[in-house]
Parts: sequence; structure tokens; C-alpha cells
Amino acid sequence: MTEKKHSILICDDSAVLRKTIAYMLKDWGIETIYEAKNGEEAVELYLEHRPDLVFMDIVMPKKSGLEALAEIREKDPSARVVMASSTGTKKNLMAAIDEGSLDFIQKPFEKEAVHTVLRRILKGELD
Amino acid sequence: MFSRHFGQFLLNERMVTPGDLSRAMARLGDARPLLGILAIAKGCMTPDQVREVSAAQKREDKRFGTIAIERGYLTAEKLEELLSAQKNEHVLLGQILVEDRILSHEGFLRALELFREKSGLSDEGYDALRGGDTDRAVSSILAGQPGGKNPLIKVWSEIFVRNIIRFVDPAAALDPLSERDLKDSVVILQSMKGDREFVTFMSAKEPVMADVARRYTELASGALDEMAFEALGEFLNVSNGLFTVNCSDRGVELDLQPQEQVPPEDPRICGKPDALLPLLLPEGILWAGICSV
Repeated sequence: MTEKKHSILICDDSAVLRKTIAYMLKDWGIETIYEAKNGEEAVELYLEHRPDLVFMDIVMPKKSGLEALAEIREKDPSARVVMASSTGTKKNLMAAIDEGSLDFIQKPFEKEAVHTVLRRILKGELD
Repeated sequence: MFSRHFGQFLLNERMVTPGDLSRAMARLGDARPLLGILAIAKGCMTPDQVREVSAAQKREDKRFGTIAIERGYLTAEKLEELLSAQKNEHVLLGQILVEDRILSHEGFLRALELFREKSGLSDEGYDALRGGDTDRAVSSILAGQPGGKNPLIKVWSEIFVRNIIRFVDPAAALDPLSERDLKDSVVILQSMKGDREFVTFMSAKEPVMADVARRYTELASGALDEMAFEALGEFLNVSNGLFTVNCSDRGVELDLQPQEQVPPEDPRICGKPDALLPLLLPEGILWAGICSV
């Protein structure tokens, strides 16, 4: 389905959420998926694999999603990160934008919302 | 959602057997409402009047409504109101039980009255519960609870119940008659801190929790394993997340804390919460609560 082989990193402390997004992505032909269960792992996996896109939860143990976002963007300003959180408060939304998040998806996820964000950010790179 | 609730009540009161109830529930989808039963449920006609009109119907070859108007039991307006009333599943359940001769017309009326009396609901609350109006049903359950008048507690309760209906069971019902029993319960708890501080929790016996997890995500197998706990925690997190968004819109910023599995004797949930919601699900009651700290 994809013209280019994309890789995506999903960062969420909930295995249920990670698997749910991973199944969606696989349905859309994205085969290379990395999973991180906390902010520390998110930074490590990002630097190791440099995925095309990151879905990042905000509330995570060890290092929050916002801290991980800042660290990733500091080391790679071209990193494409979408915050995906249940806490879509104004405070979190503004903090995410300040740190360079490209978009914000509110949990619970609607499949369509995830697909729209994916198509918009990987514009021209997906069928 | 009220049909299951009403059915459970009939069972608890030993007015029906589990077999009677499951046979009647299975036929709900095919049943067509009868005007006489509807008229009894709405308090427009007595069981005697309905029996009289039904008997006359066999002799006179006229519609039930026509005879009821001729005999002065219904007005044309009242008939119109009954005909346009929404299909209420609990009335259909009563109708099937009356048709099967498990309940008499009087028994059905008595059951409705008894339910209302025992639940202690206001007229409005009873109508809301009966008509499936979730937010009004939540308000009626909260009336008399410590946080009943607190707008944030009410919002949290409405969001939680709507999410149960949306993600877990469309037929979920609030059951005002349930008695809380924490013994052997599984409890998932999540705090929220910021401009205010709240502790929220959901608790139930193991089969109920396992079933909630399985209904919430197909990744859970139906056993109360690690994935089930993940799913339960995520459900609470998602519901609380929507609550924090709502609070943020009202100028109250809250941060979600990690979810915890705690023993039923955890002091944070043993007192009287600001709101305590008993949700009747297929496997039993799920309790959800919120306490301001």
C-alpha cells in the first residue's frame, strides 16, 4: 500500500493502546513498527531507528511524553511527532505545540482520525 | 437499557425465574408493543379496564384504541400520545411476561410500582432511567450523594457512564438498588492532581472486570490476566482524560496520575465517595466512584 517503506514508533505505557495503533498501521501497510512503553525507551528507540513518524502519549512513567518530545526534537529537529493522549487539556496542547509536535490526537482514538493525521503528515509518501 | 435493569429487579423480587427472564429477553427484538400494556405502564388505564377492552375487542371487531375511547378510558389525545410513544423495552418485557402468563396485568403494574418505590427515585429520575436518558439518570442517582450538587462530579459521572455505554455495553444500566460489597473486589484507581485533586476508581468482582476488559478491547481474552488489567486501566484513563479536557474548558487544569490496582480495603475508596455509580452489566455490577481530596 505504501510507495516507501515507512517506519513508525508508538510510545504509550498502555500495551492495549500500542497494539491497537499497531494493528491499524499494519492494516494500512506499515510494517516497521517500534513500540516504547515509557519516555526513556521512546528517546532510545527514536535515536536508534530514526522512524518516519512518532505517536507519543503524554502521561508515561520514567520520562513524560512532553520531555521525550523535547529531547528527540533537540537531537533531531526534523523529527515528526504526533502527541496522542487522553489528556487533551489546553495546557498539554500548548506545551506539545511549543515543543514542536505536529498534531494532537485525543484518546479514545477514532480510526479515521489516526488515518487522517497519518496521511497529512506523510503526505505524498502514502498511496 | 432499562429492560435488563427491570428484568434483574423482577428476578431479585422472585417475580420471575432466571429461565422465564432469559426466554422473555430473547424475544424482545421481535415483540410489538400492545396498547393495553403500554396504557397500564403509563398509568392511563387499569388492568381491569384493559382486560375489559381486550374482551370486547374479540366480540366487536374494533381496534383496542377505538373501544377504549368509546368507553371513556382514553381520550383521542392520550391515544395519540401512547401510539407515538417510543418503544420502551421494559414495557415489552412486561408484555411478554404477561402474554406467557408469568405475570398478570396486576403483577406487571405492581412490579413497576414496587421498583419505583424501592429505588427511591424522583418522578423525573424514574422517567429518565426508564427512557434511557443517561445524563438525567445519572443526576437522579447522584441526588442525595455527597457530590450530587458539584458540577465537576456530575460531569465525571456522566462521562464515565456514557463511555461504558459507548465502549463496553450499549445496554448498560444504572441500578439504584444495588448494595456495595467490596469483599473480593478488583479495584483499579486513578488520581488526578492540579488545580483540584480527585481520586477515581472502578471496582467489581473478577468475572465482571474480566468481561469489561474483553468488551473494551478484543485484545483481552476474557480472563483477568495482564492484558485485562491493561485494558481496565486504559478504559479509566481514557474516561478520565475526557474529564480533564472538560475541566480544562472550565478553567480547571488537572494532570492524570498513573493507574493503580489496589486492594478493596484501600483507604482512598473505603469511605463515602462524592459519587458512586452502580452499573448493571451482563456479569454483574461495576462500581465507579470519584472522591475529591
